[in-house]
Amino acid sequence: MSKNLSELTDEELIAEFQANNTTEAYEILVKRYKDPLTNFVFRFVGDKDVSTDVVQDTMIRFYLHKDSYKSFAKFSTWIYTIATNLAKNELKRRKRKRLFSIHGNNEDEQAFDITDTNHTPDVLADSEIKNKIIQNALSKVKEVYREVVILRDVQDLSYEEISEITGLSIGTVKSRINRGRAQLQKLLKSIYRE
Amino acid sequence: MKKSNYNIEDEQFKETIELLKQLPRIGAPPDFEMNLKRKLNSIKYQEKKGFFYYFNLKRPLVPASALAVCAVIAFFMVSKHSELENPFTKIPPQRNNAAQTTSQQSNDDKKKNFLIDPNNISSNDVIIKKEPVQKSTSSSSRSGKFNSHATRNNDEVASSDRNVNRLRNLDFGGFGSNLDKSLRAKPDPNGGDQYGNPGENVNFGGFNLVPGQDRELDMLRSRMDSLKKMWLRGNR
Repeated sequence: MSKNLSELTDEELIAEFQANNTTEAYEILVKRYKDPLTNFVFRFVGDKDVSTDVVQDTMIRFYLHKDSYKSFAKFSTWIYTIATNLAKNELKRRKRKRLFSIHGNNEDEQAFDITDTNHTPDVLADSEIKNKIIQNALSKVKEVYREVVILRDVQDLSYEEISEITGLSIGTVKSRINRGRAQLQKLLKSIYRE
Repeated sequence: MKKSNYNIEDEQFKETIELLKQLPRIGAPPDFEMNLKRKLNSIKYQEKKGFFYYFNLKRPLVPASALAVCAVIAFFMVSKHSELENPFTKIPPQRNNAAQTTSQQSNDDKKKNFLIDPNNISSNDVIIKKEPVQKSTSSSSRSGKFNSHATRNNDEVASSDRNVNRLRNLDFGGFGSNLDKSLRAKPDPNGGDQYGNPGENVNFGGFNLVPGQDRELDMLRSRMDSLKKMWLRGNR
């Protein structure tokens, strides 16, 4: 039975979960989407623990509101929409916290400051630092652009899928992706030189 | 030849796209599913169970069932032809026996025995005799007590004035003088102690009932008891 379920598509699995409340179908979907969603939310929020929490919340919402999924939509876009909304809410909450905090949230910024000239070329060659710099640059891109850039260039989703997730037209998605990329390119100039 | 993945628009951001694609994939922690199950179980446990949950009613049926219950209650309240007797609208039965027994007795007997039949008096009953003189004295004494508690009478005012005068006449030599010693030297003429507390002359009975009032209350209680007994016998 479980072998059969694992061979089913996402849409078939959620249909099974909706109709018979099959927990195995839910578990298979969780296994399929936990890693891509964690990667997407981490790139969007910039914090691993927070991204894990957001993805868990996404899965809980999926479990509790499984009936709100309509079969005409793709399951991946539906679950990405939930994750994106929760990640945006988390960012808003953090912004509010930072606003009322005396010390602010400077620790992360100091750790991944891309304008820091102390990094020598051989240090920059270290992929870990490079990745941190890219992540920091990504977090500095405007939120509306960052979302679509990550979905397109990190998650490899099509324009149509991004359009479904964000609820924007394909034209708007394309223009936002280009603007986001332009911002990112500006921020990552130091890396290109190497 | 490798086919390019980028269209014309993507070409200008080729390097940026490459950098983003090279980023390592972040996966969920190994205990992700376990934590998720724990959270789901806790949510299920915390799920609110309403009042109607225990009646196994579905949501749309809740108002309908409430309406039905109200209708049943209203029917029994309003209906005049129902077989069940409403205790609020029921007329209490007349007690003719009690009226007959009292009417049989003469007015003289009532005056003498105060509605008590001398043949029915048991050894446990308390017979109270009229004591008009005592009553008047007790009432006057009670009023006197109340007056003494409520207002200061002339004796008290005089005694307090005397205390004030006594304290004024004490030798108080300012700071360091022994006030206790001087108070002991000139004792209170009313019999009070050296610190100004009232002596025996000042009559203050406290706020509790005085012994005379207790006796009156006991008399009233015993009278009530005997009346109750008489009433019960009359009903039988």
